[in-house]
Amino acid sequence: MARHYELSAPPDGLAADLGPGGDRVDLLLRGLTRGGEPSRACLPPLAGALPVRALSRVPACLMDRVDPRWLAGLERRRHAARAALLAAGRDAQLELGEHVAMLLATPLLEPADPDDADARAVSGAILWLVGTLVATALAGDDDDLLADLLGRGWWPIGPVDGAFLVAPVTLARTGSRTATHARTGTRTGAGTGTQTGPGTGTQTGPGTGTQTGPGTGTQNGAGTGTRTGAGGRHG
Amino acid sequence: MPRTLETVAGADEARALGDEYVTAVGKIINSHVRNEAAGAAVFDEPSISLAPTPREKWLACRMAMEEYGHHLKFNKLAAQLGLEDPHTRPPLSVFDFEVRSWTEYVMTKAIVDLAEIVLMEDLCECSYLPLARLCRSLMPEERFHVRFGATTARRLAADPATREEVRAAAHRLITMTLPFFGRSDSPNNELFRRWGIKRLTNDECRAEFVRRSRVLLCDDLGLDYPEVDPRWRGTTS
Repeated sequence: MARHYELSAPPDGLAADLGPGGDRVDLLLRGLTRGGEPSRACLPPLAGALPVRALSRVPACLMDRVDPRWLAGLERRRHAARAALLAAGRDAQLELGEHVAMLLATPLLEPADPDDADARAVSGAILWLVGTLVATALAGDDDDLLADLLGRGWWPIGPVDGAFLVAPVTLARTGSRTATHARTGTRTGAGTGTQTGPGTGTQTGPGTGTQTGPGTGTQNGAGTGTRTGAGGRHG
Repeated sequence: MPRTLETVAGADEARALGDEYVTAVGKIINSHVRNEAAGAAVFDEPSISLAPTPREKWLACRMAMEEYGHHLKFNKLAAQLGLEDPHTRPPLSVFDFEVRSWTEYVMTKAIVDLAEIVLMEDLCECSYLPLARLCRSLMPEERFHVRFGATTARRLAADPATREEVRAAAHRLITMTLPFFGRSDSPNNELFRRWGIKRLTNDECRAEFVRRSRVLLCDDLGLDYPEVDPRWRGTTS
């Protein structure tokens, strides 16, 4: 397996290297790294049974109101997918998918202000979701709604107060500090209603940085087993 | 060894200086390759599921990515120098600390990452410029990690329900982190300073860590500080 340290686009042949589900991972990552403004026209009216509502900023208090059952459900899907892949002997493909995903996504989602904790939380949320979707895609979990939203530049935040919230992926860079207007969508229900659009974040192109990232949950060689570890860092 | 050595621009210049310089700077780089990965795998990744709120979960995820990213960046430097695989050596003993709760994770960020900052600040002035530049570029993230740990620790220490857990974790982690800086009589450190790779002795780094962590515990959190020996004579096996 090729060792990648920096990437600005999915490497050639990634889909084939990843095996079954690799094409969906490739599609997700190409969408994520394409950049550009997300379009409200591409938003589905419903996510499950909930109306989709687009936000232009996400205050910290709102993040903590995301339905914990939804998050737990995603966590279960992630664990189930990872377990299935490991059981099928596809650990190398899982590691490659997560590694490439994080190499691409981490610089793309790097907060412009390193002290902006809200932007860091948004970034972490999207990275966590990307890692989850890589695993579920490879494992044949065919729920593509979240991957589709992410690929179109929308961060699926989750259910809050009876609506399914989404916000531009670009919030990971700008956070809430630079948002000039908080237009919370007014869509309620299905159909082609009056969904208000997202903010006008400044999506920067992919792959301009050098930050890299991990696949969450991937044991990356450090191990937690028996160690007679050295105490000193540099001797 | 040239006493006038100021900076080394890259791998070719490092190799031109000879094996001793490459070996010395390679030890530092490989230590970071190994231990940044260990930190992500042992502390950060398992803690994502311990977070009490979505926002904290996502912050933990971001920090896990950043730690792993640091590992990869040091790994790239190692590859440029043609260093051997650093995973043949075990990670530092501080990673034997098993994170069992969110509070304990918070304290790893406040204390272990503080130790990392002390080391990295010294390396920001390293004679090997690729390493110095990398360390400077990583400082904002490391500082954020420590600030996250200290800020959250303040809230947890103010809560009677978690105050004792904060104290216990802090004491254990400080004690386990002291060897992190290396032996007091380390011949490696002497070599690093001769080549301008490091400026401080291991004991000076340790003393700085004790000073800063004492401010955190005693001044910020209102806790006592564990009894510690500012010197470390341990072995590395």
